[in-house]
Amino acid sequence: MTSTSYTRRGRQWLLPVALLGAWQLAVMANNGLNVLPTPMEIGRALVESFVEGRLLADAAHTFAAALASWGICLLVGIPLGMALGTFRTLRTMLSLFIELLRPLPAVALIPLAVLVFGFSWRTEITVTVFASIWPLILSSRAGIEGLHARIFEVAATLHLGKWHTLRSVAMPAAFSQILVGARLSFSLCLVVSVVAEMVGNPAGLGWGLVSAQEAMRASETFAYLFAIGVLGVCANYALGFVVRRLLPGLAQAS
Amino acid sequence: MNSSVFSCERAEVSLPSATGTKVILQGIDLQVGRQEFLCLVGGSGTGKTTLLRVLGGFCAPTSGTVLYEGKAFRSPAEGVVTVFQDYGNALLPWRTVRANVALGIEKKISGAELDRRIDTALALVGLKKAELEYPAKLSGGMQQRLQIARALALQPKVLLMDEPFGALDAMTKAKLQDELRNIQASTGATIVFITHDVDEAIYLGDRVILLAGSPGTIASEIRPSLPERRDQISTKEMPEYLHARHELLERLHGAAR
Amino acid sequence: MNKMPRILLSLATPVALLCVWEALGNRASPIAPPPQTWLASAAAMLATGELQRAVMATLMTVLLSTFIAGVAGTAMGAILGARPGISDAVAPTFEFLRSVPPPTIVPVAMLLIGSGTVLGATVVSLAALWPILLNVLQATRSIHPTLIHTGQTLRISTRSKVMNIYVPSILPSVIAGLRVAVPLAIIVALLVEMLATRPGIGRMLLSAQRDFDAPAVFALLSTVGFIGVGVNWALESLDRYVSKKLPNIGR
Repeated sequence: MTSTSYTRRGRQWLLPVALLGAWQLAVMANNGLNVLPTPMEIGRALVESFVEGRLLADAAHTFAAALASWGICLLVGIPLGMALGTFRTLRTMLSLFIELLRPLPAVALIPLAVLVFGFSWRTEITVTVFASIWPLILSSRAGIEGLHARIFEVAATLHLGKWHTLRSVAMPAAFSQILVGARLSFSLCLVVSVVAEMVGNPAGLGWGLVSAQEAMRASETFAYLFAIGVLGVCANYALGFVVRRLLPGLAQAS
Repeated sequence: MNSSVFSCERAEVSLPSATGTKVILQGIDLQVGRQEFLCLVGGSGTGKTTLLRVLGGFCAPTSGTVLYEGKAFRSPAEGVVTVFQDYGNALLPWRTVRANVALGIEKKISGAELDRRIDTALALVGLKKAELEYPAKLSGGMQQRLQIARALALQPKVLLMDEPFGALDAMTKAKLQDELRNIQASTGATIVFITHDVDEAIYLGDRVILLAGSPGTIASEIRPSLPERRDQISTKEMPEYLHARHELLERLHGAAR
Repeated sequence: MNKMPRILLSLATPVALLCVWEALGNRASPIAPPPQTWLASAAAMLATGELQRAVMATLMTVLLSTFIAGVAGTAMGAILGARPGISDAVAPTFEFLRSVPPPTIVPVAMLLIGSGTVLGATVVSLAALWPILLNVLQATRSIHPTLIHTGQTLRISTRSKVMNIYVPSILPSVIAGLRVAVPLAIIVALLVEMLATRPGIGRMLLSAQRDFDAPAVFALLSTVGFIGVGVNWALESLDRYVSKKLPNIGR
């Protein structure tokens, strides 16, 4: 790195370091601002929860729930979106329906899901799927609609069946667009899982967060908050990595 | 008529345009014979591509009849395959050459039979060596050959080709022209071939039809009566060839005036 | 298909679904009561006035917070964005802060601020702040320098510069930020009401669920749905209005 980029990097660390330092000093100077823990106390709580195994177990639950929900979103959302892009009549039929359901906030759905499934993982997954499937449906539809007409004429002249066309021609061609929706959906799955855990399923990082808060364990609360942030960053990064590795043929097309 | 593969009677095609509907083709009476190599020439805007699309099942005539093997059709007919000019958009970039060729037949046959058919098609166009490459790695000529191989894998009765060699350089064009005649000889397919290149039309075709005017109509028809075996040098020096060429060019430019 | 049949067709699906539900539904069902029961429940809640109060409470929080977030976000975004050095330096920190999901801030805020009236506005404002701030920051950074130089060359007043160069360039991004921020504000507001039992639709939803009052849950859910649709529509209209007045601004 050149000296200017060193300076640049240095400046970027300036703010977080300054903030954390000010935080630490402010709390120490005020004899513990009642509830606000110092960054160091948070760090300690993080390590403790981690070592105890609780943090990891909770993170695993949240990640598993998000992944399962995402899987369902993929299995249902992509075909549905592609069908919407292919069959104009279907699209017309469902357009209003989708526009009414899409803006429903996940939070508002949780009480209904609890009514139906109780406080369980079913609630968590149902709510998460419902909230996160839309980007996938919309981007799959957009992917199909954005395809060059020629591709479909090729399918027609080669006498490919409708399913064969969708699976072998349209879907790979729409892949890069679908991928955008899939990534968005994945981030949403993580967030909504956590929210569902806060109010609808006593498990995972969301539940850990709320429990710590209800028990007035401030450092632990912050620690869980930090863990949620880290899980999000890591999971999204991992997803990008996996996609690049697992689908090289489609890299030819993108 | 059962000797005609395609039969058009007073066919007319109108398409929506920016200013309402426009009549693209009018009064088309055309019979395409079995195993015939028919070339369509004409200036731009005379409806050559539209006519091919009608034969290909992508576009229905607004009036008149178009029959394939005596029956009307509203989508690509069984046994008819179109080869497009823009091979870049027509090939699947995420499949290898082999897999691209397989596209039209993989759901109908499998295993050794499938492999055999792919091999035959690749051999016909001379792409066997590149079978594991991706289309992006191929030259323009090879990509177009790939598209042709993919069409041939279906063992079609009719090949409709829309200026397939238009984007290629002269040498590749010449090579592919000869290859195409050989393919027709060995497969017995009927070919309808669009080109704006008069030389290509006469060299390749048993019959050349000139479309002219707007809306397009069949202005002329020529049978160059060239021998079955042709080559790029001596055939083009034959008096029949030169005569046909002269006539066609005259009519083409006359029609343009 | 032209316009009219198309609209009717898309209307048909939800209407048909509701009709089938009404016809086949079991009135006493604990989880899927027919739509008429929702209406009855809503009517009852309207009669006692609780529904209106709850809606007002939630909307007030959302609107107030959006206003605060809008003003603060625009100001901060513009100021930070105007100085490339600063915006560059704060970018990674902001990126990290942005990846913390806003709903998760709620318990933390409850710890620090308590569950009083200030909680709602504070947390929701904070949540709504980010999309607006980041959008405005980005838009300010992308104002073409030539445009700024033009302002300087023509020696126009600061007020004129702001009104004629900065505002038109930034306004679309403010709206884009609002379109993300307002739905987010609704979500966080509802969550605050649920976790901290603050008055609003969220709290009503929670108590309806605890009472196993399925029609009430559906009625409240529909209310939230209507609010969402209404908000969406309002923002879209605003977007279109601004786009018409300020055509060709790159987003």
